[in-house]
Amino acid sequence: MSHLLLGAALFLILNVGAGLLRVIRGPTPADRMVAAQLFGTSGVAILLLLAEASDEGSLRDVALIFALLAVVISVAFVKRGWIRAEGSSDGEADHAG
Amino acid sequence: MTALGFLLDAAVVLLLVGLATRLLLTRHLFEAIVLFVSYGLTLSLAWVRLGAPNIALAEAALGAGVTGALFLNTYQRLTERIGDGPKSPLLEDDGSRDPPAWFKGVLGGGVLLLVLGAGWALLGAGRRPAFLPHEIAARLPETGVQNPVTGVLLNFRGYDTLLEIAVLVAAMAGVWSLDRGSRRFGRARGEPDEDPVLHALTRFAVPVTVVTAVYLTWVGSTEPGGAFQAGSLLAGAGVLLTVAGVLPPPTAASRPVRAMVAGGMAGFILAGIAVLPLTGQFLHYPEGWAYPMILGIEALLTVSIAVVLVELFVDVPAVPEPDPALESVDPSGDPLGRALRGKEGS
Repeated sequence: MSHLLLGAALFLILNVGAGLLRVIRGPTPADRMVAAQLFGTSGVAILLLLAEASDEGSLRDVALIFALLAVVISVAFVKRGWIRAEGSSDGEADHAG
Repeated sequence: MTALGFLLDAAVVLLLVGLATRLLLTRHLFEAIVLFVSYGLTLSLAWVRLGAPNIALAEAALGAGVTGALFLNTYQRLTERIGDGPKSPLLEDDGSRDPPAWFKGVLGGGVLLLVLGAGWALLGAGRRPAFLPHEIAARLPETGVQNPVTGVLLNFRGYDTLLEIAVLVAAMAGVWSLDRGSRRFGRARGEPDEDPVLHALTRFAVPVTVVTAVYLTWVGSTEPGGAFQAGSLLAGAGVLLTVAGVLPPPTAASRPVRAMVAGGMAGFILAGIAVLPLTGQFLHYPEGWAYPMILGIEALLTVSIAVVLVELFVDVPAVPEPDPALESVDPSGDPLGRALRGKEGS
């Protein structure tokens, strides 16, 4: 059983690695931020799988923190990082790679 | 099982090294912020794999969550032009301001040697028998809590934690003394006051976050958790409420805010003094009182930490007018680089 759980966690980590490509290539801030959110969501899933595999309940608390602070980060992004980038001509969207 | 576990660890390590390398090499500021958050999350996974869920919690909450939000704040502040002035040099760094290649080479080579040397020494030193976990486990019942990390942080080494909260209070005082009048969120750009999506999100997320923060403070005495993790979650809820316009931004002018910022440190010190006549030692809790005192101090600390973090996020000073006296100063704030390049007067 724990083979399956660890295997799934490994698969998710590889997915996160693929998401890293989007963080690096962009091109817009939203692309990068959504990739970071993928990190967060996959992190929650990985932590839950590891909690099940290792029978360590406190990992579920770490997963909770991942999930809840992802909300704060996205709101901070929408309110603080994004408006500037699309609202004015000196946006960062042209800053590819 | 072990092979899979090894692959999992290898994937986490590769991801960490990859993220760190790219984070250091990129010139794109926003990308660096996103990489930093991703790095914090991956590091948290690494702590989990190392069997340190306490640190994983702290890294996820403070390293990735709170610091990431603060960086986003700073980024937005940097993109604001001061009058018709140029963009912040940090935003259009194309390498022309770098120190010469030989300098980078020497510096990079030196650091690489240092790291390799340290790694060599660490691996060559052999394993030191760990005696502290044993000592702590033996005396844990005296601390009044069952989580060894909380036992160390709030009982054996309570003094350290007291100084940590003092650092936060001092940082808050520093920010307040620099304050030139904060502005309200996004209003400057003519956004509507009512944002239905944000309101719905806040209604859903804030109660869950607050309950989780209380839970983390509470559970800290038996399981991984504690004031700093809970405080940063509570701060997340505070940021959501402030951004949604439900709460007014906390300011130094508000007495309750100041009381909450100082409360953690004040309560900690008062508790330390209160036990003096009973045990004769600062912060030496009397027998049987350790648990309630630690829980009370943790609760006060959680509130203090939360208010400080919300304040650091929300209280962005307005962009100052350009100061003519500063015109001759290198805007990149990089006197070393300029000296090395020779004064080309950019």
